[in-house]
Amino acid sequence: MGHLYFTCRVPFPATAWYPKGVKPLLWPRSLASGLTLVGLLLGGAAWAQALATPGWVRLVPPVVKDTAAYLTLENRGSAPLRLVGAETEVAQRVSIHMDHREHRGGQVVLGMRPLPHLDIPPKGKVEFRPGKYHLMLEGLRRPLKAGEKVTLVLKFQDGSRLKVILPVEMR
Amino acid sequence: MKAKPLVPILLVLGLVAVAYLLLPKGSHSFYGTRLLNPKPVDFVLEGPQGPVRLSDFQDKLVLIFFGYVHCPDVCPTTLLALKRAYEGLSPKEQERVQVVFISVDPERDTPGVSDQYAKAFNPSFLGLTGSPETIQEVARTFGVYYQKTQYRGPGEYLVDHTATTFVVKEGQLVLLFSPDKVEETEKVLGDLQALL
Ligand SMILES: [Cu+2]
Repeated sequence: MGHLYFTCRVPFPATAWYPKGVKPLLWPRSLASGLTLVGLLLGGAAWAQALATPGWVRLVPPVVKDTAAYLTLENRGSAPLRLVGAETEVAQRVSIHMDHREHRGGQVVLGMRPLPHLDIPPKGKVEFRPGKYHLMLEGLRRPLKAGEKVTLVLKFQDGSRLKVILPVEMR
Repeated sequence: MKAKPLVPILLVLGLVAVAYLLLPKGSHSFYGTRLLNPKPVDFVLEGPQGPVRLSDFQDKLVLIFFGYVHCPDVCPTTLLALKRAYEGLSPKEQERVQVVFISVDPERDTPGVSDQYAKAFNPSFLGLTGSPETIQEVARTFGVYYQKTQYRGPGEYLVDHTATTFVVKEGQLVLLFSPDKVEETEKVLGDLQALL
């Protein structure tokens, strides 16, 4: 398994009040290699904490200007977490897509639909994988190469951000 | 007394064994959806080097998938499955199989782009497309549905499409794989080898 990515925002001000029972941890910017942890306090009580388990960015033929990124997003906190978008240097735009499935003439018709945002409930997780959700990287600025790493910044409603590094793979 | 019920049981087991041995050789239970009445199919579409007729592959098993190039999730999932199945065949068997990708988005996908796309999965794959009218006609022949959605502007839209893989043998549509079934490489291989 690859690295795990946590995010969050350092509570502000530094002398933030912590809810009862929550130990005022040190919120280190960087732990071990590839692991970033930040804290996120909402109203001083409920908090959301995003944890991303990297998947991959799909290697597409060089003629294709769009690709998909896959990962698992988990909310370790006690407040809902709302993903509102993402950014990457390699593409002009990143959209949150949900796969669409219907039956026509006894056969499966597939497609995708953009979502304005995606909620991850407290203690819940959402899997981005073929057939479910994907982050669509639209308008690739250059063809990607197998094995290279793509950095994606996930953006949440509360203003927090999560950086995830995904390998480019043909799968 | 106790041994008595064993006799009929052994008899039944024996009969089952005999029946099994008597099954016609080569009988294969298909994993894909077999067409009880194989449907004659043909088309002429545009390839990178000019028109391609389905009947040009009369002596091959042709696997056909309809999709579009700006489709990074659904189409590669099936094309990667077809790549795995194709690459699981022996070189001799591969000579008798042709994988064809047909773009239902001729507005954006030229024959050249469709073919480059298909060949990125395996150099022997073939990508085709045609005029909107021809694509419509070919889609109707195969019972394929496709529809633009989420239109944002010229060249900016998504396409819903039937994600079935069609297997054509000697000009007849004989077998279908749903997008879920096509991912079971071993079972798909079994079906292809039974048809070869
Ligand atoms: Cu998409």
